[in-house]
Parts: sequence; structure tokens; C-alpha cells
Amino acid sequence: MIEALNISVLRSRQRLLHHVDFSVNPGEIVMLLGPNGAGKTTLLRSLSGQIVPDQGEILVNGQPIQLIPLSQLSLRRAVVSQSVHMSFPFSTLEVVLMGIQLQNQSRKSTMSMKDQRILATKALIDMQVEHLSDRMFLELSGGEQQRVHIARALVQLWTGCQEESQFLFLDEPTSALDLKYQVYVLRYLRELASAGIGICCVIHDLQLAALYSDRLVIMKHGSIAAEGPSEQLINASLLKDIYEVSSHILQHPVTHKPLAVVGD
Amino acid sequence: MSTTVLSRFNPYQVWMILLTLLLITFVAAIAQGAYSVSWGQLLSWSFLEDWTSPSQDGLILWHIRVPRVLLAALVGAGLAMSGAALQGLFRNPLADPGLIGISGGAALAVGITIVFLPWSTGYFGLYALSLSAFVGGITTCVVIFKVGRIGATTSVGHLILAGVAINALAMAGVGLMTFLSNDQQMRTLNFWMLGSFGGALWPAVLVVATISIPAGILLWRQSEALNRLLLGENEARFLGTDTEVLKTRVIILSALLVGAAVAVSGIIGFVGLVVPHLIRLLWRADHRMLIPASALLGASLMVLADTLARTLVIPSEMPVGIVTSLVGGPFFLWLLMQPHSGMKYD
Repeated sequence: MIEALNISVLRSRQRLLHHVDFSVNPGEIVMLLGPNGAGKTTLLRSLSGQIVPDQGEILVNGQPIQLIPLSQLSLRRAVVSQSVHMSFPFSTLEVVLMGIQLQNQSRKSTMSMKDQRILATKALIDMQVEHLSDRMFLELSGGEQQRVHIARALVQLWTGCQEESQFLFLDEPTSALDLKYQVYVLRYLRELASAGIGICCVIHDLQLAALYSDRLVIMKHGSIAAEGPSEQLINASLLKDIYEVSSHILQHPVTHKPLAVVGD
Repeated sequence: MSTTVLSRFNPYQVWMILLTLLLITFVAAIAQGAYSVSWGQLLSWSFLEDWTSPSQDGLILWHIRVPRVLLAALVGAGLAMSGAALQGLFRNPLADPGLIGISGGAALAVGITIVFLPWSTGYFGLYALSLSAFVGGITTCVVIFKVGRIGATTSVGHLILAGVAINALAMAGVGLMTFLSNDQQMRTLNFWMLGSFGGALWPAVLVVATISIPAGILLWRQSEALNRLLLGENEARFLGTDTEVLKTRVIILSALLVGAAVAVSGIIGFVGLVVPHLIRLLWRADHRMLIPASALLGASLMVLADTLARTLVIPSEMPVGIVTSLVGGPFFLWLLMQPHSGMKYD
């Protein structure tokens, strides 16, 4: 389990996070929602160890995050950031290969270059970008790049620590994807979760969040405003509160998940 | 498809091509010079020479030509490797030991030693100058890093701007040293500023080899971490790479390589900048290949440049730094102007 215990983050006298308690359990998908600037990305960055909270503590499988060396932390959690800047011409396959955790001590022997390539190709196939593996990464479209970064995170998890719970953090992983791949990627995340990986994902699409999450966490002004399964959580007055938008809530005809329709 | 010139060969073939190139330049460089030897003679010597009573030709080759060629190769390899690693570290294709001030700092320290501590060069010769070049190079690195540090992390943009400013300062310092020096010191200084392998002997080869070879191997071992760093510092940390440790290592190793090079040959520009570009353009950007391939190509090109410097104006000799800049500068400009050069750095 990854837990944030009463964390606060201050930046130039502004409170980005204010006494937040939050956790991600192995095998569940938590989706973080909220208006721009609500602190979603800050919370994700704190959980992933990128920033150190000014107050409170982050525990990874019960251990304080700052006590875990980076090379060990990377065996337990992978991160897919909103945007990644790449400076030199690397092929797609080479970018995915960077995710491989060669320092993992629990493996009996070091991976051969061939095994690394097989694993990276499998991740590319899983994200349906294997046809791009020899192309230069910088020449790919935004959506393709996003899927390659997810493939890199997959390779990281596969070569990471299998004995402990693993976690995956994604910051708007579907923002550049077309409808087909939005659904494809979120379905894939569901499968990952059922294999035991704890997933925390920042997302803006309420409908997709309701359909593919186990739990929604809605943030506003650096605090958690509401949390729970989508069926219990999403209602017109909450959306009015959070987003200042009028809406009607319908029900998905098959899954019975709540669907918010915007407008008076 | 990735269509670089060398990508259609498998890696072993590329290594063979680069090694063959180095070997050819070696043999050619040993044969050519003010005292020239035919290739046939050269080959027969290397197999038939009686080492207990060498001929005059053999003496010239063994004591003057061979160490000079080896030194050029070592310096070329060192400069190219440090260029490749620094470009990766700064995530900037302009990073070059000359451009960010490491060479300048090293040259200033050498200048100060020549002008103010002339007795030291008398006692320790090359070692004193090598030592001051390292001290100058590493001091520059430390200053660049102090300036580039904001809070707990190091900003690459700041680093590179700090380097440019420090380079300018160091060059002004070298100018001041020239002003303060007497005639003989000025000649030594000029020699350093323009870069030359003239006067290279076996001790110099030994000094550079014992520093550059271990430093180069250690630098190569940072390849995977340098690859990850190209995704950005945060991403590299997410993948388990301690970027602060990496930066310190790369800077120290580069300063060692550049310090050794500057100490024995002065400031030789453009090799550290152009060679890694060429490898990326012709082959690939993966540091695991880029660093050793840059070493081989850098060695070949430096040997070639030094051979030109030795032979173009016989019986006199040009500073090799002028050759590398005269050839490297226009070539680099041409490279930048190619619309499909594969240099996509945004």
C-alpha cells in the first residue's frame, strides 16, 4: 500500500496540498479528479517521491519513502508523467528499454540484451505500438508517444520487485489518445490492477473515470473534497460544487455506472 | 524507419569499420612526416627489425613518431568521449568541454603555472602541468555546478550559461597571462592556446594513458544512466537513477579526460563537439554505443588532423588546434544547415 499521511505541500507561501490523507491499495484503480490547480498532480508527485511534502509522511508498503533508495523505489512504483521532453534522436524501442531495472537483486541472473528486447517488444505490443519500434521517438505523434511511455512503465514494473506490491502512477495518460485508445489503455489498466498492481491516475473525463475506477477521489483547493465509488459519489450537486457546472446524472444502461451530462 | 548510414550494419560490423579506420590512420600517420617512410618499409620494420640494434629510421619512428600518434589518438578519444558524455549530461548538443569552460579553466591554470611557477615545470615537467590542468578543469566544474545549483537540484540551463561565462573569464585570464609573460613563456603559452602534439614523447603518452583509459571506461559505465537522463531528470529518478551522483561522476570524469588532454596538447577545439554529432548522425544516440564509438572516431580524426598539421607545411608544422577548427568549424556549419541531417534537437 502507498499512503499519504496528513501531508501538506507549500510552494512560495501557497498551499498546494493541505492536510491530505490518501492511499492506494494493491489491485485497485483510484482516479483523481478535480478542477485545474486543485493539487492532483502535486499529490501524485508526492506519492511518487518527486517532491517531499513539507508536513506529513509518505509510506510505501509501510516504509517511509525518503528511506528507500531511488534504485529500490523504482522497483516498486512506475510513473507516467504528463509530458516528457526528449533531447536526442532515440528509437522507440530504445526509449522502452530505458525502463528495464537491471539493478534488481532478486533476479537470479542479469538479463541478456536479447531478453531485454523481447520484454520491451512485448510492452510495445501491449500498447499496440510495436510497428513503431524502429521509428525515431521524436517523430511519433503525441498519442503514440504517450503509449510508448506507458510501455516503458510496464517494462519497469515487469522487471521490478515481484515480491512486494507494485504501484503505477499516471498523470492524464489519456489526454492525447483518441477514443479507441482511451478505452484501450484504461481497460489495460483494469487488467493490470486485477493482477495486483495498485494504480492511481489523474484524469479529467468523468465518464471514463466512473467506468474504469474502483474509487474516485475528487480534489479542490488542495484538499480532498469527496471520495468513494462512482455510484455513490457522482451527483449533480457535487459537480455544481466542484466544477460550477450544471449537470444531469444518467445511468449506464449495462454497467449502471453514473454518467454526467453537462447542461441545464 | 531509422535510416542512418550505419544502421543497416549490425553493431559488430560497425565496430570493425571504426577499428579499421583507426588502424589505417595509425599506419598512415606513422609513415607520413618530415621524415617519411614507405608503407612497405614500415611493415617490414615492424616484423624484421632487430630491436637490440635499431637503425636510425627505427629510432625516429619509435621515439618520435609512434608516441606522437598514440598521444593524438588518446587525446582525440578523451575529448570525444567527454564531449559525448557532457552533451548527454547537459541534454544539449552544444555542450563541449571547450564551450562550457573546462578546457578554458584548465588552460588558465596551465598559464598561471607557466608564468608564476616556472620552477615547478622544471622539477616535475609534464606532471606539474597535467596536475594544474586537472585542478583548473575541476575548479571550473565545481564553480559551474555551484552557480547552476538552485535549491536541491541542478539546473542544466544555468549550468551551461555559467560555463559560457566562466569560459570567457578564463580566456581573459589566459590573455592576462600572455601579457605578463616573458618571451619564452609567451611561446609556451601560445603553444598551449593553439594546441599541438609537437614534442610529444613516451612519458606524455604514459601520463595520458594512465588517466584517460580508466576515466573513459568509468564514463562508459554511466551510459545507461545518461540515456535515462535524456528523458529528463525526474523521469531518470523515477526509473531509479540517482541523478545527483550521476552528474558528479560525469563532471569529474570529463574534467579528468579534458585535463589530461589540455596538459599535453593545449586547447584543441571542435573534436569534442563534432565527433559525437557525427556518431549520432551516422549511427545512433544510445550512449552505450555513442561513447566508445566517439572514442574510436575521435582518435582517428585527431591522428588524421595531427598528420595534416605535421605534413602540410613541411619542414615547419602547424598547431593541430588550427587544423581541427579550420576543418571542424565549416563542417559543423554545413551539418547544421542540412535539412534532413537527423539533428532533431528541440
